[in-house]
Amino acid sequence: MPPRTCQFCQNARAIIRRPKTGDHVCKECFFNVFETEVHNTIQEAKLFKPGDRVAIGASGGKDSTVLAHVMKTLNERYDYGLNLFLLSIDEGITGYRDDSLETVKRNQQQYDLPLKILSYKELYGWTMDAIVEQVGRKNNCTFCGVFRRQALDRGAASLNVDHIVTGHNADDIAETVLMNIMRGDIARLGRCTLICTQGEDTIRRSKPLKYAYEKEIVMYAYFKKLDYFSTECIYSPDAYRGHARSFLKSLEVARPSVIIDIIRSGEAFEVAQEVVIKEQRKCSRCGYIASNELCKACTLLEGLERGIPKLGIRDGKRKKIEIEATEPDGPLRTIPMFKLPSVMENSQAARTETTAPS
Amino acid sequence: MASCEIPVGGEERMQKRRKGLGKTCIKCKRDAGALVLRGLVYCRPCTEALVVQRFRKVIDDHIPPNSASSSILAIAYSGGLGSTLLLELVANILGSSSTRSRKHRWDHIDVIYVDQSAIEDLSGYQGPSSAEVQRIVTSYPDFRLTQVPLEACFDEGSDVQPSRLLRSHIQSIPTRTGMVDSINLLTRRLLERTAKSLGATHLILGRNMSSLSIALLSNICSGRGASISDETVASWNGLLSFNPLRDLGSKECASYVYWKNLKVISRVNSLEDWSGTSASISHLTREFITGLERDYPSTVSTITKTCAKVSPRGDRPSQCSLCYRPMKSATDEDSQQHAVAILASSPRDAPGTLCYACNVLFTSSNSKSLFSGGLEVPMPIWSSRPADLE
Ligand SMILES: [Zn+2]
Ligand SMILES: [Zn+2]
Ligand SMILES: [Zn+2]
Ligand SMILES: [Zn+2]
Repeated sequence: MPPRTCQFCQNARAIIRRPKTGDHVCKECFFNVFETEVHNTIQEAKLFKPGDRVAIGASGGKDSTVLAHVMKTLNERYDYGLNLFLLSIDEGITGYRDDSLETVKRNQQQYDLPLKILSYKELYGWTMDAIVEQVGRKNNCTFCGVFRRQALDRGAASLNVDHIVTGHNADDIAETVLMNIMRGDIARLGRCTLICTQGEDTIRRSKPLKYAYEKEIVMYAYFKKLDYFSTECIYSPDAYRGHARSFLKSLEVARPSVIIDIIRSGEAFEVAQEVVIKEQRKCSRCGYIASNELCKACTLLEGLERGIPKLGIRDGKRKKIEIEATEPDGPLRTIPMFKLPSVMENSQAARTETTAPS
Repeated sequence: MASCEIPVGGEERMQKRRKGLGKTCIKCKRDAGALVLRGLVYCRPCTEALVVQRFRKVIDDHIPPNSASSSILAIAYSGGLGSTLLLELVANILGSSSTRSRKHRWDHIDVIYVDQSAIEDLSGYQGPSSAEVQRIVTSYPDFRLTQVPLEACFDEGSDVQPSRLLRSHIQSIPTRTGMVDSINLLTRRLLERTAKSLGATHLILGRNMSSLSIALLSNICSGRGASISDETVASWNGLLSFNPLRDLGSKECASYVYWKNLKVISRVNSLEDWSGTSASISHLTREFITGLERDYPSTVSTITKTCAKVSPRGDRPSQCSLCYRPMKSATDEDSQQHAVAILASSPRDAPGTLCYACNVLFTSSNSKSLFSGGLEVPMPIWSSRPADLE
């Protein structure tokens, strides 16, 4: 077959068949449509305004590396006026995170963005290696997930940013829609397709790569020769998610649009009104957002410290072992008090003023 | 992203298969077990009682018992497992003269069979013969059988035969999964229209918990999230469609059918029995769910329960001219497109005002697709008529 010409510029030779649309494109036009789609996504959702301080959750993996590259490019090209930062969490996983952090440090040089690294060790007093040693490999992702979420918020607060963007891509979101349906997680199903999530006084989280196909992210990183780290975490044992992931891959062969179609399905419905979503309050020990007396991280940490790591983990019957929020007897390690970034305190004060009854 | 960075509930929330079963029925604690359902052992009489009880409960939920107005019931019959069981249960539990339920009054009961033989070669599915269908249905003396060909979806009056129109409609769809989706769509719509023309107030469908959860999940994968609740219960023009077997798994349904010596004359799977690029989403979903059910038996009931709790988001003032479900206005549908994907050339025009998912049917392709662009796609009768005339 003769070489195809690019369907966009009708000029250069097409070297990529876009997984998302099936279009034959040249390298330059591929970069251009990929970046423009992310830009359109950002504009459509009105994610940013000039002067915003935004942290890019950077793990050194392909998604967050591409995100950092594209965010920096778009910020310059379209004059977003954003102050961008890189924020990395060091879970303390030998042979995985230590290597990927080296990548992040190189990215900092390459993109010339300020970098903050926050470790589980300094925040919680435990590395993931130490946690796995105590709890085994079964529930360690529960610990890691809870700890990471809070660490990212605390890192953002210390950078004084009120917005974190993460590298979740279209495949991740489609897979999460399926998982939430199969696991019956109604509350998460309602919000997992939102591009931006924000509670009353939490730091905003956004997913600018929401409509970007994983395959295209890999292509983008490859053709841009981006420096990224490509190993899966050595402690991720979720077999159920593995099934969902391979199911999605087989669907994608039958109809490539399926990834977007699932996201569009998720966007098209909402949780019925009767379902009550639990009210949020503040952890009595560390000040972080909690739905009980103690936040999840404090509960898990206390379990670790007391040598009863089952604390706070749901058992098979979906009951939770609760503990009284008494002060620990011994000198247990606790998490420092959480303070919102000052940009948010200001905006909250402003909100209160404007909404005050006249 | 790394899979652990995507928040969902932990695996410990999934109920794993229970081990170490006794051999006596969990219910009556007397008879020997005949069947293991979601990890529990049941004897034959207790299983049969369970099937009847769950069937009756869903019927009573949707058709108020003892109501003064009479209802006319239509049963969608395909010859498959679910609808075979439906005929038996309606005849013996709701309708038979000896055990007739005092709660419901039926003027008559219609059985509707949609004949897909005009597209046998396209779907790869050979349905039962008309005589076979006739024999099964007439073995229940209270039922009236209506057989209707799938091409009845297309206009009789035109100079092209309806069966030709049906075939070119199906053939204009670029993927195998779209073809399967479209056949299901036309069949469902034709069932509703036929039931309505027979004066029915209720149309019952033969999906059990397993097949319903497969339908729900594959609809979500096809972009039909907005109308997902209609898969379980749908109301159109005074006709209520629902699935009385929705609380029963395929295992107890199959056992009941086997014990009662009923004849299943059609196998749904054959419609989807393809693999690779030409596999359909419903076939892949069926394989996926069946595999998952072995290790996580609660999956199917979780899917049906979850989907029962969602409703369409936002205003849906228009109506899709193909599937008839409410949709956003065409401009709203378009406005999001440029953020999702930028196309090199404008996609071929979809035939009519279609919802997101029906549009995907005609426009979304895969690496095996042969585009027959430019040809006019024949559309079913209802797509050109305003909704209020229906
Ligand atoms: Zn080009
Ligand atoms: Zn806390
Ligand atoms: Zn029994
Ligand atoms: Zn439609």
